[in-house]
Amino acid sequence: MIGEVGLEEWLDAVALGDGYYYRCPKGHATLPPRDCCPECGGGLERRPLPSRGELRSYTVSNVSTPEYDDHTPLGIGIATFGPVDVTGRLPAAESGTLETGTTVRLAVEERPSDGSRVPVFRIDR
Amino acid sequence: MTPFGDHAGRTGRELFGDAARRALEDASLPADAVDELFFSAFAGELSESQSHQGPLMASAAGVSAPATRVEAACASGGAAVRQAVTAIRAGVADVVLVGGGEKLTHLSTPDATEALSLAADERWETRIGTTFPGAYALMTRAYFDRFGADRTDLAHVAVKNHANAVDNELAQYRNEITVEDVLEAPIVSEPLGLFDSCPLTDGAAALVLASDDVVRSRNLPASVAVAGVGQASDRLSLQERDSLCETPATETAAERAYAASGIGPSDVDLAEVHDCFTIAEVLAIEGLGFAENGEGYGAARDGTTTATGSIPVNLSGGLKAKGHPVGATGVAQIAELVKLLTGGHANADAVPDATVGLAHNAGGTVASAVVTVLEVVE
Repeated sequence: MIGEVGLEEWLDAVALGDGYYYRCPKGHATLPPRDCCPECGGGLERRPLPSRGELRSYTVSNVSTPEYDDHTPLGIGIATFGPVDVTGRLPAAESGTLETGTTVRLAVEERPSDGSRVPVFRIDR
Repeated sequence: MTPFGDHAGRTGRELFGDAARRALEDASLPADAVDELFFSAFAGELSESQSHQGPLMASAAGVSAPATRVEAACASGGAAVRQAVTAIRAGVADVVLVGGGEKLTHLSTPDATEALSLAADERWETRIGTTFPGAYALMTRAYFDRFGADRTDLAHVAVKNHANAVDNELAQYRNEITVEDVLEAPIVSEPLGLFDSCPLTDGAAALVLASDDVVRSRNLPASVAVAGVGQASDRLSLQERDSLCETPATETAAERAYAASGIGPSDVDLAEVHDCFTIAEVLAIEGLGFAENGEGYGAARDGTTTATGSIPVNLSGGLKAKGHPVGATGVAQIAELVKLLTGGHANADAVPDATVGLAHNAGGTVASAVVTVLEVVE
C-alpha cells in the first residue's frame, strides 16, 4: 500500500537527505512511489536517490491556481536525479541565473496555502 | 457547432442541445433514430457543479438512448468519437450522436487554471504549482534547447491560426495578429506568452455517425467517412517522460489511425491539430509525420502549414483562434473538417480538391491522444 502514506514517507526521507526512487527486477527505474512497476508490472524496491540533480527544463509562471495566487511569479522545474526525474518549485528570483543543466539539490517546503509539503529545488552554488 | 466564444447566461445543456439539433438536422435524421449518445466534457464538476452529464445532455437533445459521458481531459471529444466509431463497428449501434461541450468563460483566470490543471498529476505536478501553461512552457524550453527554435517561430503558428479564423463565423477571435503582437504580449509562463495560448471558451459541438447500412437504407447525405481512428496514452506527468519535446502518444495514435485507414501522412490534404499552445501544434505535426522531429517549428513560418501551403493546418483557426471549449474541441475539429472537405466552410476554397482530412486531439501534456482520419467517399 503506497497511497498518501507513501508520499509523506518519501517527503520525510527527502527532507532528511535520504530520498529514494524505485527499481523493478527488470531494471526499470520509477518515481512517484507505486505498488508495481508502471512499465512491466513487476515488484519494486527502493534505491537511494542521488543527492544532486540536473535541471532538465524550467519556467517562471505569472499565472497560477488559487493556491499560489499570492506567490507569483512562480518558478517550476523538472530535474533529473540519476535514473528518475522530479518536478519541484524553483526560486523565481533566481530564474535569471538558471539554465538547462544547472545543478540542483532536492528539499521539501510547505505550500503556503494549506501547509501540504512539496518538493523544491535549491540551486547549488 | 454552436459559435465558440462567450455564452454568458446560457447553460452547457442549452449549448449542447443547440449543437445536437443542428447535427441531426444536417444528417436528415430524427432524434428517435439515435441508438447511443456519447457526450464529452472535462470540467463540468467545477464549471457548472455538474457531473453525470450523459442523461442530462440526452434530454437536452431530445434523445432517449443510452447516454454516457466520456472524459479524457482536452482529448475528451476525440475519445468520444472513437467510442462512437467502436460502437458502430461492433454492431451495437447504427446511429450514434456524439458531442461535447464546456462552459469556462464565467470562471476567474485562477479558477479556470485550477479547473484545467485537474488534467495533470495532482500530487506530483499540480500541488507543486504546475499549470498547463507552465507544463507546456517546460516542453517549449526543452524543445528550444534541443532544436534551436525560438519564440518568433512559434509566433508564426499563432499568426497563421488567427488569419484562418477571420472568415470563420463560428470562431471566437476573428482578428488578425502580427508576429510583433505575439512577441510583445504579456508572458504567461516563460517562454510562452498570452498569444501563444488558446483562450477560455464556451461552446458545444455534435456529430451524427451512422453505419454503412443505415446510410444506404435511409439514403443519408453522408459524403465523408471515418476511415480510421487511433488512440494512445502516455504517463500522465511530464517528469515520467523520456523526452519533453516529443509526444509518443500522438505518434502511436497516428500509427493506429493510419494503419486502420490505409492512409499515410503524405496522403493527408489538411489537418486540424490540437494547438492549445503554439508549441503543441509543432509537436503535433511532428508526431503525425507531417514534419521530421525538430523541424516542425519552421512549418508555419515557411508557409508549409498556412492556407496556401502544401498541408494546411488548422484552417478553422484551431484552438488558438476558433477557441477551446474543452470537451467540444475534438468533436468540433471533425465538424470543421467535414465542412472543409465538402465545400461548406468559409475556408473550403483553400482546399478545393481535398479528399483526406485528419483530426488530432490531445489531453493534458499529450498523455492522451486521439487521431481520426476522414475520407470523402462520394
